[in-house]
Amino acid sequence: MSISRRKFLGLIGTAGATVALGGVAQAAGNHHFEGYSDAYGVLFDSTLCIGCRKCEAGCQKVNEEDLPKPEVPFDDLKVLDTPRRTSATAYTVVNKFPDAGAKGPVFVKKQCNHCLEPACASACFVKAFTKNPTGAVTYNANVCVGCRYCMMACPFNIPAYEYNKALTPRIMKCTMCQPRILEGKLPGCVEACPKEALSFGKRKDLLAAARDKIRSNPDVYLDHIYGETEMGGTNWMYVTGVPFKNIGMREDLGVTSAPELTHGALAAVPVVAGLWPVLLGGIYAVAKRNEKVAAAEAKAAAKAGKAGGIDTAGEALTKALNKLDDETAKKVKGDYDKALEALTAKKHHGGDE
Amino acid sequence: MSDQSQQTGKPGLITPFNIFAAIVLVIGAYLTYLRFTQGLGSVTHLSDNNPWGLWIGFDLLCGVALAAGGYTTSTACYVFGLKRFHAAVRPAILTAFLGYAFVVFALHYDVGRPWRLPYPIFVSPGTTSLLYEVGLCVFLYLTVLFIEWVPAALEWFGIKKPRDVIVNKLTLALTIFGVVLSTMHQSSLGALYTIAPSKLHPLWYSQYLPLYFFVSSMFAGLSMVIFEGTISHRYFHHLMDEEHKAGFNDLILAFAKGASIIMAGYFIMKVVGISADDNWAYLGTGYGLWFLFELIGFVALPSFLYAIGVREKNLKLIQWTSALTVVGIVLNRFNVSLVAFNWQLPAADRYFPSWGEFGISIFIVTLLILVFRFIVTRMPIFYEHPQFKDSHH
Amino acid sequence: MEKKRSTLRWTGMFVVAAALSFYAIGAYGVDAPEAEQQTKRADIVEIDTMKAFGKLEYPKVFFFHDKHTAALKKKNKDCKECHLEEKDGPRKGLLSIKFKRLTDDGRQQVMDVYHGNCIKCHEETAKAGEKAGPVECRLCHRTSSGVENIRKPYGFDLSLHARHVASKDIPVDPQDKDQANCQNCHHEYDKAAKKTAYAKGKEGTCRYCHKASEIEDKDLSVKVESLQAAAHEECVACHLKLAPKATPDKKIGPTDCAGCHDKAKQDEVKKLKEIPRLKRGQPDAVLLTIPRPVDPAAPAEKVDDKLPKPMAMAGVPFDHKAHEGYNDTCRVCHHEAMDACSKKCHTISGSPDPKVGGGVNLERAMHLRDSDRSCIGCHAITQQKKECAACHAAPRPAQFADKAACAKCHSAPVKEVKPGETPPAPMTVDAAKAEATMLLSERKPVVDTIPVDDIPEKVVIKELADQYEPAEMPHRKIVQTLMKNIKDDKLAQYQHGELSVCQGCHHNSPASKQPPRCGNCHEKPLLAGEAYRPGLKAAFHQECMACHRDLALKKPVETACNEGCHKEKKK
Repeated sequence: MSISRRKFLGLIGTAGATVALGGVAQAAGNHHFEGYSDAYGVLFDSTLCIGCRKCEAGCQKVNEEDLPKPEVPFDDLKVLDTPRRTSATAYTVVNKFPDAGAKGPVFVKKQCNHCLEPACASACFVKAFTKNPTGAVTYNANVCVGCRYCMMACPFNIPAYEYNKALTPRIMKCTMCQPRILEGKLPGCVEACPKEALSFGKRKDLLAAARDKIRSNPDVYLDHIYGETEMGGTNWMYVTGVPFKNIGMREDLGVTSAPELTHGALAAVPVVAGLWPVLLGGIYAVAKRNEKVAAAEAKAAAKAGKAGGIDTAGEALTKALNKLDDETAKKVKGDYDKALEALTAKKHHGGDE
Repeated sequence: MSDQSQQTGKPGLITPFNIFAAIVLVIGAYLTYLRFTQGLGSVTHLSDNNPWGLWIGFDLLCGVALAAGGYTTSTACYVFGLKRFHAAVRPAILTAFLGYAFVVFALHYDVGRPWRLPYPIFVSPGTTSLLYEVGLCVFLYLTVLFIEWVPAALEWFGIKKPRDVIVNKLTLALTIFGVVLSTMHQSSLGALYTIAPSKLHPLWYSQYLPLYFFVSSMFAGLSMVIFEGTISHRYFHHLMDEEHKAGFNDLILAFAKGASIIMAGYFIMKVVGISADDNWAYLGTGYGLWFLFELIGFVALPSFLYAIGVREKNLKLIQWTSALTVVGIVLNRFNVSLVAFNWQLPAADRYFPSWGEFGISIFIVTLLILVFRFIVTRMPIFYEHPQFKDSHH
Repeated sequence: MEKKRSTLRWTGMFVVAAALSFYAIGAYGVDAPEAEQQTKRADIVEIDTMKAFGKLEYPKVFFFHDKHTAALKKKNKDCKECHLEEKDGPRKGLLSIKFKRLTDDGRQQVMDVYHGNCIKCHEETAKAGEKAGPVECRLCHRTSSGVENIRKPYGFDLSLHARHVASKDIPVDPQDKDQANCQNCHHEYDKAAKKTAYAKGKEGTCRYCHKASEIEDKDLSVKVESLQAAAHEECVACHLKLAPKATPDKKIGPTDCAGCHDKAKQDEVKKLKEIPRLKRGQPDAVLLTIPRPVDPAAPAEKVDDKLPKPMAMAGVPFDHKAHEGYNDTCRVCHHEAMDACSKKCHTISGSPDPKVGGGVNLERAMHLRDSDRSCIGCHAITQQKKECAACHAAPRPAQFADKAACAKCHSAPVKEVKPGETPPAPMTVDAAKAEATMLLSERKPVVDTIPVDDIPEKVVIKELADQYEPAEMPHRKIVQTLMKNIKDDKLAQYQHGELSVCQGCHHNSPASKQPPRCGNCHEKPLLAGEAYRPGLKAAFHQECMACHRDLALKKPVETACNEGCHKEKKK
């Protein structure tokens, strides 16, 4: 395929201009995000939680517009006997673990962990989730298409969906009371807890406090802050006295954040977009050239035959005829064998028709 | 359009298939009404733990994988220069175009607010998401497929100029663009699941998931062309021209050869994947046996059968094997999205599709077949339009 | 037809081959399920003598000792059937615990001893028509014993020791003025005579010399056998000798493995309620001070001039006699030697030899909180009792923040030395004992001296009253409960003088009858730069609820706010 100099320069220029237009690639792969330095967080201490469900009540009170009052009131503690997960009407739930390995039952509050590099935000193809500088991961129902990929991606199984709504279904999850913390108030659950099983503060201060608790009371706490590194780190962290897997928290999530997990596949996109046309174009060019060469050779052979190399032509003809003979013979034999098979089969099944 | 109607000359609308299709359409319409007035929860078994079900597992994943015949056939014909497959290109493009179109149609059911489907591209692109990648590429590829298909419609309408432009000037570019887009979205569908290693069984989870989905889409496409071609030759034989009929056997053998080799390579890739993560121990479990069943029965076996069929020129064997391969692709997509996903949840929390979901899926497939039938019986898909014969390269 | 069959055949073979090979690879990686452990035995002996000669070619042998002694007993055969008498050395005439040999000379010899004897006996027993052990290699050489090993180590405590001392069957030394029978068990190694001999006044636990495995004592130029070997040779041999004297009323010690090592049997051993004091000439009271008191009769010790001279310290009068009754054995405190802690190992700056004293200097040896041997550590363990846990169990802030508590133990006055004056000579041991005895007698338990009227009866907590009425706390009742819990414990009585019992709740402040309000220190949680300190609401709830939990109070229920402390506000 021949191309004029002008055309070539034009193409290169366009390509260059396109590249220049692009901004800095933020493909979340080579950079490690340590979180906004002044982000807030919450520390949950399961050794202090008594399972009174005041946090659930506090959350519902603060989010009255979105969360209806439940049928079973919050002071009914029998609901703790069945494990629950967050739902379209509950941003947070408390679960009871009677056989976790402590002297009595251990209670654990479950809600969005507001990861430093949230899987939901990475997964959302309409940027409906935002990781705010306050640390809260918030959801924008005005762009959400309802694809529910965020629910697939969340390793903690937190986002819930309003499956019962036909036209305006939303994802429902804890917001860390972002509007309230911007006003200097505490999140609803933290304010309600009488035991300070939930503490609210800057993430770095919470880490210091948690380390202090662990260091001062090595017999009470396990030497691990859940959320310090899990899935790249979260803003909602936990300390306990019993192994985390005994209280329904997965210990096998690893420290790689979700964006880092998908970075490889995403990085391949520009490679494919750039390389494939070159490769395929090349194959096409080679195939086309082969065709041309074959056509030219055939022409030359024909010409040679015409010019008087009758012997060569004759040889070529004999060769071709012999080849044809062989192929035909093979094909005939093949057909013959098949027919024979069919006949013998008929014989064996004889009379089944 | 059955044989009966050809003989009597009367349009034979009352055929068993048409009756079945009518029932399915009525049920589908009712389910559609339910879905859009009472929400997803009324029609599906989807839950907070299982947000993606049959509609994603079958309609989206299988639909896209099986529609891969479009790019494989057109690449074979136009990029590799294998002109003898030329007659198979239009049917393959049509299958692919309808496949993708109905995937998008099915998506309107599954997604919470389908009128916002253009948002990721035009309003608020979430470029960190692999689903954005899938959406953008499917959108572009559907457009490409439409443009590749539209010459058939234009020929039917007799509109020459745009048809000539597309066929003569744009074919190669469209084909290459189609391959680029197909590579990206076929692999991205697999990459969707790489974001949740904690939820997918280790035998099916791998960093190579995008590669697995892409490579399997290749032989899925090739097998689908053989499979769909076999059925078309059975039911639409009378519509086909000589070039199409004559070239079919050759196509079967060639595509089977290609598929066999690709499947062998895919098999080795899967073994490498297990080895890379040292997941051998899982093969001894229940899930492991199911994985081996999928890998050996639906990848290794068809690869082997294709090879035998090619060597012995056993067309029937190849055609049955293509059906086996198609089932295997469906099985693989089901395994990744439904069986191996959330494998750690207790049985009570696992998902099984509801009747409504089966109903809509069958409804969509039936609609696809009906539209396919409509198009092939009117437009030059299986034959060359007499007015446009030889006016292509 | 042929073609189809051939296709099918090849396909079938391929599928089967692939499936099998995969399964074989896959199954390889799966762990074999653990055999169900049903039988429990305490007599499992693991024979891996060949380890001394290099890598084991076969797995070790699991040998059930009691099984064999019981079987041999039925045939009126005793230990000599398998165990030989030592020909020479300090244990001449006594049985060796090795099987049918006295020394391990080499691979072949040891192997032949075992194979030749074990297999021969098994074969003969089988020939005689009785149930016999295995003769095939892999039935003895196994990767696991196939039973659950419930062997528990057993130690000699003061109760057992007293029973042995009092036993009429253990002969008394006729020349001993105390008419004691110590010489039967206690010995030292005489280097010159190359044998063990009894040394009066130097008795200690076997573990001072006999360690977990055989060691070479370079000072005494002798191989000291392991504690296991020594204990079995001494104890079991003696029990066997005395076994004929057993009657239903008088039990002789066990001679089979399970008798000592099965927990069920261990629990059956009689424990004396009142253990008569062990007589070894130990002091009643000791003055713990630096420099150590000097014994005029003992040879002078080498003093290292390079180390700084110890400063004078307020000494601690230590009631040794009372403390003897607080533990099961002497070795809880005297864990390496019967000497004073600082004589050789826990010197003031720590021993220069890292193997001696474990790198622990004298101060740490006395004050380490985590150890069960240090003074403070043992006191901390006592504080975990239910009566004390309410205030002392973790997490409680700053348990020993009050440095005035030091003076409770360090009560001996310091003799001031003015500059220019010569320091007085170190006390003699007897003088130190006298001072310690005097100081101990001066101690009076101080408790319950606060007049009742000074303890507020009710405290109304008005702070943070919002949803509920102010909470009414029954303060006097709480204080009097705490006092009651202290009453019976000598340590608690002495430590909790005057107002220190108040500091259980009124913490991190000097003891006073008007302690600061909780809200003075607890306001907002997470104050910058502070160790974790709860906010006021949490401080109330954490303190009260934790104490209720530790005392195992059934009411008030933590989650029943209204029933407990909070009355609903009257609207």
